[in-house]
Amino acid sequence: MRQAPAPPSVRIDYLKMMILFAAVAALPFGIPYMGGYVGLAIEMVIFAIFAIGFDLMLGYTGILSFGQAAYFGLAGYTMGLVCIHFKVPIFVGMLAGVVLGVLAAVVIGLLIIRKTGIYFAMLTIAFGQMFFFIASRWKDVTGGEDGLTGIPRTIFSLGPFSWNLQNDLSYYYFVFVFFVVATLAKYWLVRSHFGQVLKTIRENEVRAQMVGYNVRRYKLYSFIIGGAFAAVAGVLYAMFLRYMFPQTLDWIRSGNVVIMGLVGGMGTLFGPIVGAGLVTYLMNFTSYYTKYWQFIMGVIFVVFILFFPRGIWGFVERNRSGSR
Amino acid sequence: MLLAGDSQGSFRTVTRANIVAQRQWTSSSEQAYPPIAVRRPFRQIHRVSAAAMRPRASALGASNMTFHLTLPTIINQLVNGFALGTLLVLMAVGLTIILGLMRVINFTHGVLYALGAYVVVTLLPYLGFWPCLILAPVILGLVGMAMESTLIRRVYARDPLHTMLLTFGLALMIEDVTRMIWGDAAYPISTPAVLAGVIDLKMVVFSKYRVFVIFFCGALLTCLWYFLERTHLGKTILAGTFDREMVVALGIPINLLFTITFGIGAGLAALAGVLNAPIQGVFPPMGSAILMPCFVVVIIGGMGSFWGAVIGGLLVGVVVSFTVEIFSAASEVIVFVLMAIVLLVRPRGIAGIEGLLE
Repeated sequence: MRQAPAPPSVRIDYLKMMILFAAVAALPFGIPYMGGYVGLAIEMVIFAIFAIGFDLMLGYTGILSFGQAAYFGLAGYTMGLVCIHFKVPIFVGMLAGVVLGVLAAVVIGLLIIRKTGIYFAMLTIAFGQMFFFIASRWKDVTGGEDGLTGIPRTIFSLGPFSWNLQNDLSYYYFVFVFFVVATLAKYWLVRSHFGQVLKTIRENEVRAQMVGYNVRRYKLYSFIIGGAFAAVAGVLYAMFLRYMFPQTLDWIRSGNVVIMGLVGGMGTLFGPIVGAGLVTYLMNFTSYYTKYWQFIMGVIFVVFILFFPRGIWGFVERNRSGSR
Repeated sequence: MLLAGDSQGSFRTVTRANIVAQRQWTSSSEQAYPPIAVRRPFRQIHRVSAAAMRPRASALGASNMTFHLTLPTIINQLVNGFALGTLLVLMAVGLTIILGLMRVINFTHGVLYALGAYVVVTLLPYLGFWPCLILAPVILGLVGMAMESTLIRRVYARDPLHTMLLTFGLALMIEDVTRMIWGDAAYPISTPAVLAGVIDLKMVVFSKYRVFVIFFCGALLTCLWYFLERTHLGKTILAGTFDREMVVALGIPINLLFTITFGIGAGLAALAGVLNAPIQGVFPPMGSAILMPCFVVVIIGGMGSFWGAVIGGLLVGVVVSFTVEIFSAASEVIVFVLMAIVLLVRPRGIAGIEGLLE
């Protein structure tokens, strides 16, 4: 791929990312002071990975998928089922989960990618919901509404390398590794030639087509990459809970990811991460105090759409660099 | 899923042979709703909804073993399917017109449907069923118009995705508002006395109420068709779905048109909620449960198409009813399989308008 020579802003970006990684690495120690616990920190980071993938689609390519939870949940279920039934090492289960999640994204992407905008969004919801119903009704395999229990989170071993994940704190750093990789991968993707094409499609699809890019194929790639991020997050989530349930695949869950992206700021490097962390934290916080947390989430979401459509990070960046 | 959900109570065949063995199906008051968690930790919210929608496994298992597609069964499932289908059509027509004209996926459609049913819960003791049937759509139609003109209108100038996300946020809020006002419990609604009981034709037995639903919805859809095709306002709305820019260029106040369309859609959704209340009872997640099948109906029928919604709704209704009879566990998934097949054969849906939303 063609790569532009690194301007000074790249160094600043790396510096920012180092600060971010340091902050996230310190999160488990800070979170008890914010009324949280290590488990919440794990969840925040997992959803950050999920939201990063979502941002690649909506923020950079301009395609809105409202069914991302399907790949998230499918990967989690697959990982659990493979590990439970075949007694394979965790690594194999994770790989199987991610592969199946990506495969599902490929198949569905091929079927619907030629639709655009709202039509596309609606199809992703509908197909996502199909997986939800399979998970909730195929009782013999998935455990139905009771969920899939007994997903292992023991010792991750790959060649000479092994990592005991049973402790929440050690699992946090396991997830953290994936988070770092995801963030860097997104940064490189966005700055690559491929990422530039995606941005072109976002800005003007017709022009990208006219310039000679196969728009549909690039959008499909973007959709698959988004699905892959979701699948990775799903596998990590299944291991975190040691349990999967159908509601992880629901369209409300997909909607939550959209909320995370939008609250944080789409199309920015740190927006989805901030959004995922904040929304997960708020959900946990409000659900602790009131059973009407969904109402509060709805209010926050509506306020953001109406008044801060660029999200927190977009708002910060815009104010700093003057109005666009 | 939704209507098929209370399979035993509603869309399941009742022949003379097994009517005694099965529970009465005309009244939802006898349905045992699962216990509802008072505190809802956020991981578990929709457990309640899914459980409430799920057919009782024990009730289904036994009769599945000895299943035969006899003529009475087929007739019965057709009636059930059409009752379910016409309700879906009522919802989907509003959804598809809003989609065609305003380019908005209206996530609030489900909660408006639920609110329609809750109006019945509140007003039934004072007014009875029939006034509710008229009042609920009017009230919710006004609510819908108010919502459109105060909130949704603000984001039209932006990306259409923002409008859709705004309605998603509103839907989350309103569902919890219904919980705050009416609680988490399910309300059974008894069938109006005139329509209670069954029509006994010796060979097959129909629920009177369901037959009423079919004819009532049919009449209403005919009126709606007349309104859209034969009146000036309706024609304008349809014209807007084909070419919005042209409608604006002709000097028609498009914002007013949007508000009216949204109001009609909301009223139709509320009406479907009222009609469904005696069949299924009223419970908070009913709105989000019916939304997905409505989306599928719109996709199958084709975006923005009235007849597409009608055909799609009836098709989905009948297919779901028969699947509940034959292999109930697949009754939700079959809808999506149907959608995938339709999309493979006809990428625009059955009667999709060329160029709309593409």
